Amino acid sequence: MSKVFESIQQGIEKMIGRKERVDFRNRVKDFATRNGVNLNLAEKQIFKKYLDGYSLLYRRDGFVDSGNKFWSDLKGGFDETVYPDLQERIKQAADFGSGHLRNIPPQLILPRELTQIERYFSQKYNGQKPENLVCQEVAAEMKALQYVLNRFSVDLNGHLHNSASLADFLATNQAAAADLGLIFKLNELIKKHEKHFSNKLAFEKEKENLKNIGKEAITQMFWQMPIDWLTSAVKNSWKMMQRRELAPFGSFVKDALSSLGKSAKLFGKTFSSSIKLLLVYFQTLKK
Amino acid sequence: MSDEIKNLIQESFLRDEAKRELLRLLELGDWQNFWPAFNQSLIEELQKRQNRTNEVIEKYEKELKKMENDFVKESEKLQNYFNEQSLNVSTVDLKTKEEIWEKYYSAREELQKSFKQKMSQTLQTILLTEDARMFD
Repeated sequence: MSKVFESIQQGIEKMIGRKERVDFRNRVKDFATRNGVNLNLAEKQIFKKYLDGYSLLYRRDGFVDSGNKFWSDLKGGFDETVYPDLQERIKQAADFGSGHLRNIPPQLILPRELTQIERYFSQKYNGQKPENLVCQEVAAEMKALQYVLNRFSVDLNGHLHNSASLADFLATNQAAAADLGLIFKLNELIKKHEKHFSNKLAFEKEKENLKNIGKEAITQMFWQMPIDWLTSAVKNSWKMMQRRELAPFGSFVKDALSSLGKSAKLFGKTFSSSIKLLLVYFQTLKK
Repeated sequence: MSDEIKNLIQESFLRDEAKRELLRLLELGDWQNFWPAFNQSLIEELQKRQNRTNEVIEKYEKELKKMENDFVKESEKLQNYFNEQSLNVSTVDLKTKEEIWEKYYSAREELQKSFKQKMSQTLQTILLTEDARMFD
């Protein structure tokens, strides 16, 4: 394939959302060329590098965002090397009762680990964090994910230097394949917790909005009529002023405006524009 | 000018009793007493409305507080129930775990939906009741 054609093809692939697959393919080729190894070996090395990258992030922060680039890179590598039928088998191997799952020991969550999860949410969501129940679960899932990912990495390490492809390795090592399925599944679960937390925050915001709408509606119920009437009264004053009949009418407008202005200050923005309008009229009348 | 002022009084938000007195003074042409009475009525009515607004907002906030307390209690009940449900699930049985969590979130969203409906009903009730009492 000519380089020009390959470049065009890659451009199209990126446009249809396969950027990570193209990146993976290029990295594999680059690794194979630089190290003089075959493509099968290179793809396992690159896949392993992705996994190591995740572990580094986890060790550093105690949390890896479910939307982190790592996940799209890993999925890109997976889609590029693992054919659809095998992908389905991997998914099934990760199901409870498939007979291929190895146990994950119960994950004891240390206070420090829980704090890291809470800090992650807090930093990302403006000081807000999910209920303790959810934080505990996310911490446990995150820890289980790291455990399974380590176990998968160890398995893959044992096959890094043979000539089998990543797909061959997964097809013949069902326990490892089940682990990879679990890794993706655990991330999906973590992502769902975050999505529901985000929904909860949206509810809280909506609740506050509804509260304010309620207060505004109550305020409006009591104040719309006086404001409408006073606006009309001031307009009439203006007409009367033009006819030189203003003198006796001006004083009540002044008192009413003063009273209304003081009252309206209590109710925030809702009526401020009406009040301003009235005051402008009144200033005009005084001149 | 009298007709215009008469119209203003009739269309005003003042109570009927005050309107009648002002119209009487206007008929008599008693300007000396009319303007102070007009100002006084206006200020009294605005003051009443301010007080009523504060009272009703306070009532609305109290209702919301009560609803929020109930909501917290219901949420806690839900969490306890969920804790019991998830106790015996294997760490690798992600399918069952996911189902339990989906049930939890779905129940929580129902609670939220019901809360929003109650909020809206409470506001409607207050508005209708207070609107009817406006000229008591």
